[in-house]
Formats: sequence, structure tokens, C-alpha cells
Amino acid sequence: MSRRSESTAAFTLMELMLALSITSVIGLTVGSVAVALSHAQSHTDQLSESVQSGRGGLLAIESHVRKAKLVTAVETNGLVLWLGDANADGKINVDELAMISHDGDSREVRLSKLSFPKTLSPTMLEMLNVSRTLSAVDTISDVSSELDRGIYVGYVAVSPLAINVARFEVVTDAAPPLSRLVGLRITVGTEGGRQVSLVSSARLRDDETANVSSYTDGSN
Amino acid sequence: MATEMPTPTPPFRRGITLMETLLAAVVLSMTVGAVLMPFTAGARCAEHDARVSVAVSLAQDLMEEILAKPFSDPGGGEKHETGRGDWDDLNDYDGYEEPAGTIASFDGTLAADPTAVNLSRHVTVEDVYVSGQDTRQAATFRRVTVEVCYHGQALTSLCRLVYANGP
Repeated sequence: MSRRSESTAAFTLMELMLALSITSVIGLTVGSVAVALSHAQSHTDQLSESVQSGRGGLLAIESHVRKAKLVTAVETNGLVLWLGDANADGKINVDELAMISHDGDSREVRLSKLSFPKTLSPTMLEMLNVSRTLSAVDTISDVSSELDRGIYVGYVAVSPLAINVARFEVVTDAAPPLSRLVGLRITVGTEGGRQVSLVSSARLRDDETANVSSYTDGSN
Repeated sequence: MATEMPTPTPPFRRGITLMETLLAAVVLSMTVGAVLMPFTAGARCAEHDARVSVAVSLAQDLMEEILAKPFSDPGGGEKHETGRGDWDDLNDYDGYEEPAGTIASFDGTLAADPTAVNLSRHVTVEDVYVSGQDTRQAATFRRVTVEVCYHGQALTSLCRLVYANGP
């Protein structure tokens, strides 16, 4: 009697092993589902983050293009904009130019612009803020070397417009300076990871393409 | 003696009935479903959001291209205009359709991103008369609508009213 009741009171080895194997099968299934879920989660997170950051970057670039009066230079990975005659002298001054270009090392699309402090004396400002003809600013390297000049050290403001950019492409409807529509294509995401490319266009809202001839000649 | 006469186990303790097994399976599947649902719904939402972002971007892309064109035909005729590259006024874009997989920017480059798959674009340009305007005369307002659809279902729609102040 006592032996019999003992044998029914405890698990047999078979029962224990069966229970263990069932538990491990269930555990493995739940674990693999959890791993798959977290993968899917991080994947969608990455995707939406890339899309958002690309969209944000495009909006930032578009806002500068819209405000511009002329596109003076366009290359596959950047452009130069003339933002308008801030000092009303009828000429293109260096501080009225904005260069938007892709830096492959930092994976950023940057806006580079000269900005002179208000405290600068008028004579100093006149010396520094020289005017340029359209042909002098029709390539990115021209403008880039202009901004790199020693006299402008400390006056060049560089700000990132889009980060984590793998590729940045610019196209226009017509060759600069007659462009009125700028197509932007941006590819965002880490190398080897999920990359998203977004396209957008921006139109110069109040362009000066009709008066291009007055900016081509430096003599006036 | 007692060892040879085991007390019979009551019939309801002998095992699990089919009904109980089924009930357990149903409860388990409901629990698993309830646990997984927020994850799948979250993933679907994130994907939808990403797609809407891309759709808005594509709608804006085409809208900017259309708005860069003059209100009325500068050449005075539509004879030599064979496609999008030749179009030179707002009305040319009326009825323009880009079925899924053919969305391209103005320079002809296809939008090849996986997030743009199954998106299509449609344009309507219509004359608009505000109250007091003579509808027999040429319209001075046009409404441009760019719609982006996913599997034929509207995702986003952009609308602009354009006034004939251009050339």
C-alpha cells in the first residue's frame, strides 16, 4: 500500500522528460518568435527613421532652394544658390551665395555660407564682401575655393541640412543660371543596412532668370 | 490485502477530455494572438507611415514641376507636344497618369526605391470660377490636384489653386 501510493505521488522519469521536452519546445518557439519580432521591430524602426531623416533633410534643402533667386552652379552632388540681392547693389556678392554640397566623409549634406558680423566696419565689409560675376561662381569648386580663402576664416558658417546621407544628387530643368526647377534625390541609411532614397523637387519661388544678363557682366 | 485492491481512480481524473484540450488550445491561441497583435499592428503602422511620407514627397515633386510651368500655353498651341518633356503649361498635365512602377521625376529618372513600389500618381487640372466671374470667359483660376495612390487606394492628395498672373 505504502509503495503503491509513493509511486503515484511522484513523477516518473518518463513524465518528467516528456514535460521537459514539451516545455523546451514551447520555450524555443516563444523565443524564436520573440527574436523574429525584435528583428522586425528594429527593421521597421530603421526604415521609418531613415524615411523621416531623409524627408527632413529634403525639406531643409528645399526651403533654401525656394528662397533662392538663381541657381548659379549645379553638379551631380551639390549646387550653389544666389539668395538675392541683400545689399541692393545689383550684383552677386559673396555673402549672398549659399553652397549646398554632400560631404562623403561625414555623410552630411551641408550648407556653407559666408556671414559677416554686423559689428564689422563698413570699409572692412566692402573689402571682404566682394561681388562676383555669374561665370566666376558657376562651379562648386570655384565657390568652394572662394569660401576657403584666408580672409574669410571665421566668417564661413557650415551647417548640416541632412545627416546619414549615402548619396545626394541634383538635377535641374535647364542649365544654370536659367534653372527654375531643382530635382533632389537623397539616399539615406547606413552602408550595408537599409537605405531609402527619396525624391523631391523645389521650384524657385521668385526667380531672377529673366534678368540673368545683368549678372553675367562684371563691369556694371 | 489492501495492496492488491487499489482504490479505483474516479473517472473524471483519468485524463484530459477532448473538450478540455480544445478549450486549452483555443485559450492558448487567443493569448498568443493577443500578445502578437500589437507588434504586427505597430510594424504595419510604421510601414504605412513610411509609405505616406514617400507619397507626400512624390506628390510634392510633381506639384512643383507643374507649378513651374506657365498658366497658359506660351506657344499658343499643343501641336508639337508629344510628352511630359514637351509640356509647357498647366493644362497639359490634366489627366496625366503614372501607373505603379513608372513614377519618374522630371528628368526621367524612375523612383526605384522599395518604399515607392505599387505607388501611382494622377493629376487633374481644372478651371475654377469664383463667384461673380463670367463662366463664358477663359478661367483665371486653375486647380491642380496631384493624387498618389497605393494599390489604387488614395494615400495622399495635394491641391493648389493657381491664378493666371504669369506669362
